[in-house]
Amino acid sequence: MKYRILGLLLALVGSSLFVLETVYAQASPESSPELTVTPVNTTSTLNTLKETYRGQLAEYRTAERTYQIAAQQYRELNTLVSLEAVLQAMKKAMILRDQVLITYLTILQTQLGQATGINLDQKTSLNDNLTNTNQLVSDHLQSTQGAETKEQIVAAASEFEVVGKQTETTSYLAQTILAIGRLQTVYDKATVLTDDLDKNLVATTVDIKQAERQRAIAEVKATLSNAKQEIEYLLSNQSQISTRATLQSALRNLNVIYQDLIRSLDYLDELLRL
Amino acid sequence: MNQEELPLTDQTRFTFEKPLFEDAAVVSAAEPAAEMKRPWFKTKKGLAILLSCVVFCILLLVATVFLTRQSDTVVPDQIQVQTLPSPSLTPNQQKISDLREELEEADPAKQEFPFPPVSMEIVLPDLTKPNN
Repeated sequence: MKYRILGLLLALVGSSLFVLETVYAQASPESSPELTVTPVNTTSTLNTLKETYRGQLAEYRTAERTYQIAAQQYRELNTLVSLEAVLQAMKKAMILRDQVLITYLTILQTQLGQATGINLDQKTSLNDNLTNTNQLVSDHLQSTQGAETKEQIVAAASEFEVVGKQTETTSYLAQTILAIGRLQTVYDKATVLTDDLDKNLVATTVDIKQAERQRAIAEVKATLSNAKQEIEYLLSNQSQISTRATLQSALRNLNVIYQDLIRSLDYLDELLRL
Repeated sequence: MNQEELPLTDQTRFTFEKPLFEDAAVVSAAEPAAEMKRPWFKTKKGLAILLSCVVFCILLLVATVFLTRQSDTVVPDQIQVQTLPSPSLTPNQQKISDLREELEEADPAKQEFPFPPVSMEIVLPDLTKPNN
């Protein structure tokens, strides 16, 4: 009896160890070849730049607040100490502002490099534009860092008027073209799918709903054509995108394209259900 | 009269059953020592084995649940689960579904990085003007 119980216990322990080993083997990734997961490179250049940008922007905001306080004190006190404080605060804020803009322009340039749906000439032209602007801001950063006297700091501040305007213009243009590129990519794929359906489904399937399908595909093509016209209009008027107001206007046009593409996909979905 | 003189006074028993009664009496008398012996699980040693067995089983269960959960956990930043096409969608419907996702990412209203909110007027205040 005793031996039987001992045997039973041993069997229990043995089977438990087997179950444990099986579960542990399932838990370890190298023993599961069917697992449909792929590693993603989280330390890409763009992500690093975005992190740097956020950090620099936070630092700039603090410096800008310090400058505002120093400027207010200078207005109220007008002493040598308050003048020195405002000059130092100005210099620091200007340096950080340039750094933020340089990183931002680099992000746009990296996004442009990865973007699809933009033709090569346009891509090259915009890339050159971004490079030139980046260089302009870098030069300004260098001159600000080297400014020591009151006159040099004041000069660096006034020089930024030109630099800032060009940075804004280039950035708005880049944002618009990147947004167009994203929509253009969807448009291209939707057009290919529409042509494919027209060739393989609408034209070949002969039944009672053939006419209905033909009308549906014509409607899809008309909607896509509207989107294409809007894209071309925006691309031909891209030189006008230079201020925040013109960017807002471009965004409204982009929204029209977006709505046209949504409608096209809805129509295609309906067409498949006919 | 005593019991030995009148062995068959119990009227619930029949005479032909007498040998059976005698056997039973003999058996019960032969095993008093066995009856006195306690079952294994009531002894200290048996109880300890039983308790350790129960504790082991509980630990094993906890370990199994823990490891199973760990194997199901996925770190979202490091791995991306490949979405397999839904079996209910046809290839064309799947293409439309993919395009919808792509279009959603291209929504112009979603500006991930608008122009940085920096001041364009960091200048030395002009003390001759009241509100510079």
